Amino acid sequence: MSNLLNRLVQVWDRYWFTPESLTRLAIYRIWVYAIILIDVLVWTRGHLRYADVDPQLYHPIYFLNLFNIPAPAHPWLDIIYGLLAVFVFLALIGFKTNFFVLLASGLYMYWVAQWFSFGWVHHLHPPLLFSMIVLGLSPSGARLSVDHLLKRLRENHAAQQFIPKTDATSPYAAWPLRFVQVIIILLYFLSGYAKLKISGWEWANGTTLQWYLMNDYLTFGAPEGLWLANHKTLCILLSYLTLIFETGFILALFMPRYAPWFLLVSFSFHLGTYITMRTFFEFLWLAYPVFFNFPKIGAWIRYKITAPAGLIKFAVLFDGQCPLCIRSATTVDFLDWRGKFVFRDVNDWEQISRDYPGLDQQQSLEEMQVMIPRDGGHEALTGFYAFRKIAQHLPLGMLFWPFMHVPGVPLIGTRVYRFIASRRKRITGGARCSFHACEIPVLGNQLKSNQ
Amino acid sequence: MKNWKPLISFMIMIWLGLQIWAGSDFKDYTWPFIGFPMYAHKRGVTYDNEVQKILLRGVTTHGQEIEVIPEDFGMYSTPWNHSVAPKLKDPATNRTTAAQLVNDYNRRHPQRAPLAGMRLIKIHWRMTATVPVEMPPDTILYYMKAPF
Repeated sequence: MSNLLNRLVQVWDRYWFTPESLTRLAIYRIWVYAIILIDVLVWTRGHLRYADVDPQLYHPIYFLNLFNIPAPAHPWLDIIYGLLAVFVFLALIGFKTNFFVLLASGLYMYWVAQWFSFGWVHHLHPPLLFSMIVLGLSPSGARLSVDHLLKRLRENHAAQQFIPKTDATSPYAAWPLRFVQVIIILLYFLSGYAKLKISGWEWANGTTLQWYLMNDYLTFGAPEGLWLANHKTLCILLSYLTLIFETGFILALFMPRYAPWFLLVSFSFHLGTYITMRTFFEFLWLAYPVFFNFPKIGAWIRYKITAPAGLIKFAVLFDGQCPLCIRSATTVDFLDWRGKFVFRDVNDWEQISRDYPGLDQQQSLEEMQVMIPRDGGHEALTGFYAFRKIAQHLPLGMLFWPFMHVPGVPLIGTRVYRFIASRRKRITGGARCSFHACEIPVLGNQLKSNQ
Repeated sequence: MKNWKPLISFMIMIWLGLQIWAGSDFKDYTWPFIGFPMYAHKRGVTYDNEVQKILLRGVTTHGQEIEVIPEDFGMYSTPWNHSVAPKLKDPATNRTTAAQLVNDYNRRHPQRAPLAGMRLIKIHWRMTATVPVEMPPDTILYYMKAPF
């Protein structure tokens, strides 16, 4: 008996708590909160109008009734809406992640619930709504977040050196993803179950589908629906396929490897319902990314398709004795989601001069450099131009990259860069840099004599 | 690192249990734990065989008929179909509902021509053994406010 119990515990533990990539979890957080931000700012912004609807039509659902929450009214609904948008944005960028993710989930629940209290409960919110909540109860901000950037800046500053990022796994990164997967699978299965329990196999009599097609035709006016409703045999066939597909979806629970195939079939199903009924179930399939391991897919695309001969990497040469440079390198490393850069400390001059012959050590200390592989050698870009090159290859930097080419910007950028670089402190003995030179222990005397 | 596994496991079991309970009994007042009975009720040639839609025509004080849509009352079509449309379809409640809608319209749109009444037109199709057949539209209510 205890053996069986032990085995069950092991299976349970393996299913929910097998270590999973924190980056994968973070990508799902960004995806979910990006969708919710669009939903709040664009799709459901109009629900502010529910504050104007006759309160007699307000029939609070149980969740709101439990807390005696009255019908929405101005200006409270407007204030809640504003806070919701801010919290969702903070959850998206991962600032105080768990705190703001949970706050955003709570407010979003209210936002949706007050809308449902006017007589109609939408059935497809659970996957995204539950995703929002479980992300707040897990280490979803441990990667790809402002929290992670700040943590790394603090750690690298304390260590007085640049330590490159690594992906890590956590036993608490898997359960939120598995949980949402199970919810999606259950949703399909329970939809099929409802049809069979309420109507039995008679649901597939063809007339039922014809009726629903006509009902949605009268509401949304899809001519394709009218066409399909006039083909009864096809309606019977599609009805049976729907029942088999929905109830059969439960198999995805036991065959997780084949989940993408189930998703492909279900997405085709939703595409079909959109064409014929103008019902897209977007809140359901927008949660599908929870099934995909995006870090692995990204690596596969990179090494098999976009860079089969190996990724061309640019070396960023920086002064590892300068806190500002360590911070810059840490930030660039954080934003380098495509893994385009490697970071080299110029204080390891022996190795650097071997790898990049012809470089000047003093200039390397004064300005950050980016080494671009070219014709078997390397071309060096320094200062502002190095940063512009970096921006070109960072997904977020691309937003600023075009502006860095506006006439006048390189001139101003170079001056600003030099001004900041010349005033930075160095770790060793409180040494500083000037416009012309950086004090470094090895070259210090020689430099002073040159000046 | 603290071992959170027992607590998380307990939460998962309760959460999934609630979802399965609500889902197998088709509840929706328990939202966000709900069932999924949408499109689940059977229809046949001899029962529940009519698809209906109620069109609203506002009648202005000048006797002109204008189209009135759910957005005129601050609502979207789907919640409208679930909360207001059933009252308009039901002969026991459609007169009172139409009266409320006329008042609500005039209150919301003081700059538009005021409504004195409302016509409810039923658009309907009937299911047959082969194809749906369109039926002639019926006026199911012509409501006019009392002239005082």
